[in-house]
Amino acid sequence: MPGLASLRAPAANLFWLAATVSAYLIGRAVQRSLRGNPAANPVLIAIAIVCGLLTAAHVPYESYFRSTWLLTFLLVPATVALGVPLEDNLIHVRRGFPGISLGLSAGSLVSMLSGAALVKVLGGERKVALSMLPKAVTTPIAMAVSQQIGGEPALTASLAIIGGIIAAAMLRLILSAMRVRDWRAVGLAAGTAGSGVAAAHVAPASGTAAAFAAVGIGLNGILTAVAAPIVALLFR
Amino acid sequence: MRARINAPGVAGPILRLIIGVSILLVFGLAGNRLIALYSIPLPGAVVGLVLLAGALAIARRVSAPGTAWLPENVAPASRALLNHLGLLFVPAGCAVLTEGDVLRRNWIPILAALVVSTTLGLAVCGWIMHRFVSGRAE
Repeated sequence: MPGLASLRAPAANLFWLAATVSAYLIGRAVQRSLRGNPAANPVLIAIAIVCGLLTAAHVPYESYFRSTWLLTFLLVPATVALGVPLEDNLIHVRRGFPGISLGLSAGSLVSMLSGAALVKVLGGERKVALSMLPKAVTTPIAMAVSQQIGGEPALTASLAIIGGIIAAAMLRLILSAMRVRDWRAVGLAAGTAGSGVAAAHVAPASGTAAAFAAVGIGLNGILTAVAAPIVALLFR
Repeated sequence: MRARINAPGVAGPILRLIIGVSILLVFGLAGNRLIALYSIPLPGAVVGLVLLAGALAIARRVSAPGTAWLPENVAPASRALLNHLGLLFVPAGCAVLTEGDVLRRNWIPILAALVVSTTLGLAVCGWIMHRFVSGRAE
């Protein structure tokens, strides 16, 4: 497509920013029309649309990434912003401390260890195992941790989103099979194992679940950032 | 958020968002500074998250006049960013374009590890939390 060659010029900066935002809005519209089905994840849809456009226009990824720096830049304040819902729900942490601290750290460690170990055992590459390790936490933290331990942040981002979709889909099935019906346990598990995607799935059903999911996301983000570099030593 | 003071006309919604994002950035930069100074093996933004939660908890506890400006300015910006958190990692996520070969070579271990580790994490966390809270009111 020779006509699209102009999109590689610096003037195309705003085009790609606008294209990214539009792709995200399309993703949200699709999800809304499917009544919030977690499989229709707006971020995955947006990534697919943008990747399709980049391939069609022969734009190298690096120049796309440069022209959308503003969005990536905002990841730092957005990550810090996770402290607000965490602090809002600290009262629950104080009341349920033994259960939350034990459940969260056990769930988090099991998820990190089993994910990276399975990749290794099934013959996957080291870089893939390290990218898998922090995938249960909220995507911006997962990417930062992945970078730190020698994984591939882009791969971790996709794994984190798809892992969240899997968690949202399996949540009711697994927890009801285990007779876990308490909203505090359901919310904490959703936030710890499936971060924002799974939390968005349980939040409409119960305010309590939403609060405990926020706790799970925030605390697991901190815990994984602290523990992942140590766990990663096992996979060097 | 508790401890609201009346400050009529201090900042309109857009100005408040800009102020809020700036405060979040300051905490993020403070986090970056701290990890560089003490060579802490954590992402700077995560340290910023902890600092912000601590500052908000202190502001809530003190609740003297004038301590509400932090939550009041930070809450709207935080909500705006977190509501559309997904948009912010679309550019970074598109780097999978450059990872096609890795995905083709590793798709079986990736798929198996994703499903198994997510299920185990859910089950372990939910079950332990349930054992501790079942039968106890909130």
